[in-house]
Amino acid sequence: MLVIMKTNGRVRARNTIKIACVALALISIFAFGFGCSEKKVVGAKYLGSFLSSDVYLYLAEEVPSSRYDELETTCAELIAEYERVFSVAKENGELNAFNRVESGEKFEISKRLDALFTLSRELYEKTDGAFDPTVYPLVDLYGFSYRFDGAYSPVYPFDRSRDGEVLPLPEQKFVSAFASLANLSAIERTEEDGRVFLKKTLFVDVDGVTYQQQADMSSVAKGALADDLRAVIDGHSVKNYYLSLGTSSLYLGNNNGEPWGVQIVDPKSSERLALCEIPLESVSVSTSGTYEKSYYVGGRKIHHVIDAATGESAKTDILSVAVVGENGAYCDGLSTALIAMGFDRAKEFIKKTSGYSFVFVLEDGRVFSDLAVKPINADYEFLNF
Amino acid sequence: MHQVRENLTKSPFRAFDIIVYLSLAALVAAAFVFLSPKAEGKTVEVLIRGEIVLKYDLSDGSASFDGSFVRKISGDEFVVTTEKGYNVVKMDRQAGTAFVSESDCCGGECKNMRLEKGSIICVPHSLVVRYGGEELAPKVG
Repeated sequence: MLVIMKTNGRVRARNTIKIACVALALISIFAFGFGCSEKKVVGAKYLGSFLSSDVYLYLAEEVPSSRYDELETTCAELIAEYERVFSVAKENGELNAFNRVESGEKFEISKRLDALFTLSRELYEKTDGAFDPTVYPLVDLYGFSYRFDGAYSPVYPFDRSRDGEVLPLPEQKFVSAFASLANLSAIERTEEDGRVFLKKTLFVDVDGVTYQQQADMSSVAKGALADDLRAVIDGHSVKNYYLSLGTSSLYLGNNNGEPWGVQIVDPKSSERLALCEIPLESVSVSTSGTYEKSYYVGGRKIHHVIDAATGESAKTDILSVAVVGENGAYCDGLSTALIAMGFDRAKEFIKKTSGYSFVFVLEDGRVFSDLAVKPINADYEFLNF
Repeated sequence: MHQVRENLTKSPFRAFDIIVYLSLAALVAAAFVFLSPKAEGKTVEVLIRGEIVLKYDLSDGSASFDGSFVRKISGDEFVVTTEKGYNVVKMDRQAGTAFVSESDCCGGECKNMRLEKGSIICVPHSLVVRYGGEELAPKVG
């Protein structure tokens, strides 16, 4: 009886093992079939447009489409929110509304705008005013605002008709008037019951027309958006990617164990050919340059980086600068400020700045950097700080 | 009793059982191979001053190139010429890589560098050989 029981037991054990193997095999086949049949997403993906700049996510790993769809939706919503807050062109935009408010009026702002206003104040003070979003009326005066994208016709008393690609220089009375409005410290920030308010304290009259202070945060907002998009992407467990916002801001994630070869564009190249390559990862990069938006009047280069002190295009020997660091918004703002400073002042400034690296391309063809740069265009002279 | 003794001495798995298990294992392995998602075909790109002048698909050997810079020597060998000189780029489909087999550049470091990680750069000729497939190189400025 004991033997029979043992025999039956062994037969049952064998049958159990058989059934288990068949079940495991079937489960594995179905798992491969269904699990692997979900589409994967990789490569360049368009996320949206912010301040007329296309935002792309370049995936260097395959992401299941269900996870990617959720990520894409969240990013698109964030971009739309940024556009609503920071666009000076959109009439329902928060910054647009602030720009129309008169001096002395309290204007409640969102946390998002407050965060960048606060960062802008910090940069303004650190750079002794080289970074100042309130130069916007001058940016517009010289023809570099959104009003000049596409069709333009004179509207305001200070507007001039274009002569081909060139806008004649503005009258000095307007330059002086708008320069007097370029003062970020003149915008007061107050808090009441957890709500934040801004109040302009400056205005100026020219020929009986009153002009108010206006701010444009585009020189920090792209970097800030990159910082927030990065948090969303990281939160969706995507590690190997990079983000590009227009041609001036990048966030580099990982690249499967290798750094990204970031190309800096040759500012003298109309075809945007590469000047050099820098190996980077897990870091933000922002660039600014005088070549992006510029024209010549009587041999004088007029570009969009305004010197708040003079009200004119900054007299600078820097063609372009790339700033590399952890905080995208800071990189973005710094890149504009450094152009305005000129190379000598910029060199002194960056000695007091830690945690950021730089690539300066000068008008005379020299490239200065404190990074390991791989030259691509041999027409330039590459030097270290 | 004799039958019981026979059963006790037999191995737990008969030959037929082994055939079934091996067949199942083969089926699982086949599912892994054929149902796993395929990665996109790897490509090699050659750039002059940052512009792509040659794209070669390592999976099927097809190529597209700018005839003003690139001439095909054979199925997997291309000479890239600029005003600064030439580089011969040879594709190795079996190894899934590429290398510069010949060049008249003054430095010569690019010659025989195999594309494994990053890119092969010939600085005097402003030439870059890299893995591509899609435009993945970040560019700013």
